Amino acid sequence: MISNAAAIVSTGMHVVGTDQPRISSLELQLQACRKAMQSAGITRRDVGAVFTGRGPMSYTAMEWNMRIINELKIVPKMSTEVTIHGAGVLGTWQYAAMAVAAGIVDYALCCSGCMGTRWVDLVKVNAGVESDLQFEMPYGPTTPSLYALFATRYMHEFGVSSEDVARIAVENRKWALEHPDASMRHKGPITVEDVISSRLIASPIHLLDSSSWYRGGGVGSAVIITSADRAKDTANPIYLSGFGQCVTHEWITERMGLTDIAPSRKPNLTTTGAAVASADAYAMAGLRASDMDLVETSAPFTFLNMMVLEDLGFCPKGEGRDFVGGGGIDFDGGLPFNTNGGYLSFGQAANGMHMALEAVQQLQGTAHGRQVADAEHALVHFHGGPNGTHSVALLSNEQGMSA
Amino acid sequence: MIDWGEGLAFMIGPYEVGLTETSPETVEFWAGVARGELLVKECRSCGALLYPRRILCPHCMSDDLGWRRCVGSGTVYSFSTIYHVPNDLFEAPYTNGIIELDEGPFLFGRILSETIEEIVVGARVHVEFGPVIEGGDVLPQYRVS
Repeated sequence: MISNAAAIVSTGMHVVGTDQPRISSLELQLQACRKAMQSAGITRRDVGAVFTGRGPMSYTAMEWNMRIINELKIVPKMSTEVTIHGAGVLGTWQYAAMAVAAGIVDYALCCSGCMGTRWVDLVKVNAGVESDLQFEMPYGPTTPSLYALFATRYMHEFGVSSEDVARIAVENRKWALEHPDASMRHKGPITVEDVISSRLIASPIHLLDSSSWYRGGGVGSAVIITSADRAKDTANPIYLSGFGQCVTHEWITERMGLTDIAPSRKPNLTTTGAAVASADAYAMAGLRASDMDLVETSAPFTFLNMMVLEDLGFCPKGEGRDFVGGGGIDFDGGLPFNTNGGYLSFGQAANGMHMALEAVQQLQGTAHGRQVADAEHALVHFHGGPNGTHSVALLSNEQGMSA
Repeated sequence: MIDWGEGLAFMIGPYEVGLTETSPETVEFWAGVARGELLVKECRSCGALLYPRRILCPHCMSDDLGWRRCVGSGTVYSFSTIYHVPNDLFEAPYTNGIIELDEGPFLFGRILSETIEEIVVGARVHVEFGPVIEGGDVLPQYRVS
């Protein structure tokens, strides 16, 4: 049984804001790795596996994991960059769990992070990794405009309006106001009217429907994962109760050539791999959506948060509008959702692991000022690509394990 | 025109570190575009019509693929009008979308119309060939009809 066979025993996070000198993405991640390793009380000789997310946009050569190894002088028995875009970051935890549960290694180090905006123009370069160089790129797509193709079709089929999805930005912002490091904290609360009257980036996506880059800086994140046996004597381990991945396409037009297989029996842009990934995760854990005390996602646009809530099972397909509209994710009394403000208001940090660390903090009871009371189980969802890769992890603390 | 059959050099500063997009399997698509023809792949084994990139038929795993000329008509499956451009080659606003060709396959492309309001899901379009930027390569584009 892989369920609950591995646990996160330490985390490291390194935050650099606009007001601080820029460092390389490599240093950003290494500072996080250092914190995670020191907090776990392990040395480079204890780390048997190193898994990283996709390389940062300020380092597009291949095999980013090798640069981490260079610096830390770790000699891993297993190592790879998990190259399924943003979903790969959570993929690192899954491969780590399998490696420690199988007894192949004792400790795995997983890390990610990017100083993106301080080095490159992300609007200019990002569509280069999110679109087809031959069949899409020549038409001048931007990353939001590719996601917008999902939005237009989804909103058309299910009668969803810009006002309906704007509420997600409003509620995410409320959480961000409680987090000292959230990038949009200083902007104060926003209204539905603020969102729909902000300028259009790529219809139907407005500026405030979109993720904000992390304070013009970066967040580096790292975790140490070990077996449940080794974890049980540590303070506050967080168990990986279930996980799943689903990868549907590289480039959006390829998604429309996908047929006769879940989640795309017929070509469509209204379903996502999150449905498959979460179904596998729930089955592995023996848990349901209704067992989750909080949810964190890397969905970078309002409408995609709504689609993902449906596909993760928090409401039936097509009922995201009513779920959100009925207060389903309200800061006051709804399902705690993106409890640091999410990509929209905490900020996006490339394929940043920070959303998953937020779930770990909540389950450890250390999310000061925004703590979800009595949290035992959390769902973390990461995606990327655009909307082509999905990864889900269900996390539980000791209270959740004994419940 | 870029010769996709030769691929593009992947440069890091002054150093050539490899090639990208070596795709002889799409050369005929672009030759068709130059002639004013819109082509998709056709599986000679099971008859499926496929995205122009395909090397293998995903339905029957045949590698015996040819080309089929499309009439050039289709329907807007989805679209987005871009107001924030990727770089100064492009001038906002313009609309990209996914077109469902009458023959079945879906293609990405520029959608042309007199007014933005004419572009809706389900709108009928017909292919035109031309550059989307000044001096750019000829590309298939889709005008609302």
